[in-house]
Amino acid sequence: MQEWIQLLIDGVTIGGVYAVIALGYTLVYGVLRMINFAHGELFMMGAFTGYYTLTGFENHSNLNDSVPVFTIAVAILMGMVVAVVLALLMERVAYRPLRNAPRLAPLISAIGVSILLRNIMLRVTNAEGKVYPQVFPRTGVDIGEIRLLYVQILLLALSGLFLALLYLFIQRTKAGMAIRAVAEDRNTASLMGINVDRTIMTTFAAGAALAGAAGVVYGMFVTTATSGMGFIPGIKAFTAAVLGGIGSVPGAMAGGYFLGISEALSTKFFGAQYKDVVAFVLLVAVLIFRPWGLFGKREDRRA
Amino acid sequence: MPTDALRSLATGLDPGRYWQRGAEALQRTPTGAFIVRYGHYVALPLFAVAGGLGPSYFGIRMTFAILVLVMYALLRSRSGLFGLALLAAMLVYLPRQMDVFERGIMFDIALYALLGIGLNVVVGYAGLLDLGYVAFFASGAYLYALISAPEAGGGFAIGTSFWIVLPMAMVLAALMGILLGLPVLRLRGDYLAIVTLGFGEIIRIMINNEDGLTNGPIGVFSIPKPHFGGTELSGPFELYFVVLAGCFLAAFASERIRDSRVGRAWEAIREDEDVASAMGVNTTAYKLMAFAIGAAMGGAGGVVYSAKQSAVFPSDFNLDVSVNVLALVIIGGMGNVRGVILGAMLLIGLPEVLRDFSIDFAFIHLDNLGADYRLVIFGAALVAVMVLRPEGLLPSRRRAAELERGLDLEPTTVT
Repeated sequence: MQEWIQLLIDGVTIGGVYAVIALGYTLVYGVLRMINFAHGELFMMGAFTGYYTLTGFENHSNLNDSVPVFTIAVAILMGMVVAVVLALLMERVAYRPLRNAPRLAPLISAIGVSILLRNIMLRVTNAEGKVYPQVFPRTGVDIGEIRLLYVQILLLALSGLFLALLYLFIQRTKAGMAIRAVAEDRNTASLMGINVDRTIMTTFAAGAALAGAAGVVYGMFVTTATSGMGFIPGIKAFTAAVLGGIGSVPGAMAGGYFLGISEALSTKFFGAQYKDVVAFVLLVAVLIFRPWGLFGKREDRRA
Repeated sequence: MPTDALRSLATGLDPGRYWQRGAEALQRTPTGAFIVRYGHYVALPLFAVAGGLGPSYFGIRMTFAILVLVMYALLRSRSGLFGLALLAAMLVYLPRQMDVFERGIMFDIALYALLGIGLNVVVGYAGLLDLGYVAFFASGAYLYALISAPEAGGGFAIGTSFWIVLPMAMVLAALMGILLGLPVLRLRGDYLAIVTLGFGEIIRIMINNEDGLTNGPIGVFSIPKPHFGGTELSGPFELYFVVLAGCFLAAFASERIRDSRVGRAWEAIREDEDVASAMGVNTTAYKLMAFAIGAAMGGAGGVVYSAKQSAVFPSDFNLDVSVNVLALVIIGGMGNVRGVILGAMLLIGLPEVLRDFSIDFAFIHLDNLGADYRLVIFGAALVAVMVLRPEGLLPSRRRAAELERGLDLEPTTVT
């Protein structure tokens, strides 16, 4: 029983990361109908920014020891800023000129951005993983035989917080309403006086901020940042977005947790090496039986 | 604005336009039209023979980039015979002057061209976005490895000849293509992309984990080389010609299929699946056929790859292969075999040519710029080509026409 609970907790932890990244995919897909293949790289850039910020604090002050909450908050903020700047840049340079191009063109362009960012970081880091300074003690609380690391608690709490903030942003603010309107129908939205370009930029920025923040927290959790670290979580998060019904914000959240938990539980049956297979088989099964996603609205025709 | 300016500059400098006029004049006569249409199929083997006679080494790598540009003009010209004859001459003649490393690159270019021609059937003709193409490549490579290597993990080392495994691998890959095709028949666009991506990953993970069958991450070693008429085709150079022949056959076959009833059915499905179905096109059968034919070509490529490498590892078959092949098809120009060949030369060849490139100008000193930054440049180039020419460098004539007409074909307001 305790083993199951442990797996469940691990699943929810990683599921929270998937959910936060998945939101970026689902938001961008909602407004542009395009898979932002470089989204996982924003996550990676966030993780590196977090590493550089925390290492800077470590080398030039004792703030990491005295006020870790402050340094972590700054690191997360920096991660968000860097990811947002990059996302706006890639939107402007690589995606906006292709808005009316054949639909494969932005996909290839996004793959190009992804390769570009990954290899820039590979050069910058000389292909070495960067180990985070230890801001958090690598200990945790033990409840019975269940072990919960402090950093895991932080990850759980922050992913929950980000999801709640994003949900409020989409549902309660004017900008969020504009995003929903553009996702519904871009032409009509622009006739209603919504600045479509700006709304698309807001969408990219919101998704990137989440990915950047997730990168920092995930980096602290796994303690290293590598140039290839965005790829697998990126793919998984996209899978999660599809599982939940792409374009749907609550769907992406639910899909992320669902995928994380399924993966963790499946290791019990098939062994850890088949974790990724489980994710994809789940995806195929959902697409065949419920192409609109587990939580999405049913529509007769999906492009 | 700057984009427009660059684009018009590119069009103005385009030598292809001038070639085109001559080619059109030639095509007006029936004989000329026949030569243009089928001449290059004859020209290719002829040049393969002629390639045997050549002078010694000259600066291949330096000229490679220039030649690619010249070829771009020739390929664009649609002049058929001349352009393709020159292409064939280069493809056959140049490798004879190269060292082992460069011959390896030529092999890779030809191999990726073959894979591209196969994927082009699926993506370019039938319009099915496939990001799991590596699965078929892997199946071919592992089939040959497991059957022929003496110490293969599965213990079926029965030592069958390369030439027997080749058709077997094509059949196996085609069956796998159908296996992939069946569950995804109802999916479109991006969904299809992500499911096929998952399929490719599943195959790789299975190869990695099923140690008993495939030796797992250790890989399969001492895969024998093929023999042809008593001689062993030992190096990349000899195998390069095998792949080149494969490219030629695949290009011929895929162009012939494109112009047949099957090709027209694919086109109808690509344009609008619902309408095609309403018009009586059996969309299920034709989509599966596209998957199977494309996969078979990928499987054949896998067999040759395995023979060239002498050893295969699961890590050779990651998503990057699928992405590279898809990128070269799209950069080259979807639906056009010549575009695919050009795409292979640019995407596989240029990063290797860039390896030796360095900048030493004023205060900028970047040694080994190519070796260190070639993938950075590659990523930037992908973005640049898409922004400047989203239809690819050499789009098929019909695709280009579709783009000029506008994009109302795609429902834009589906949510």
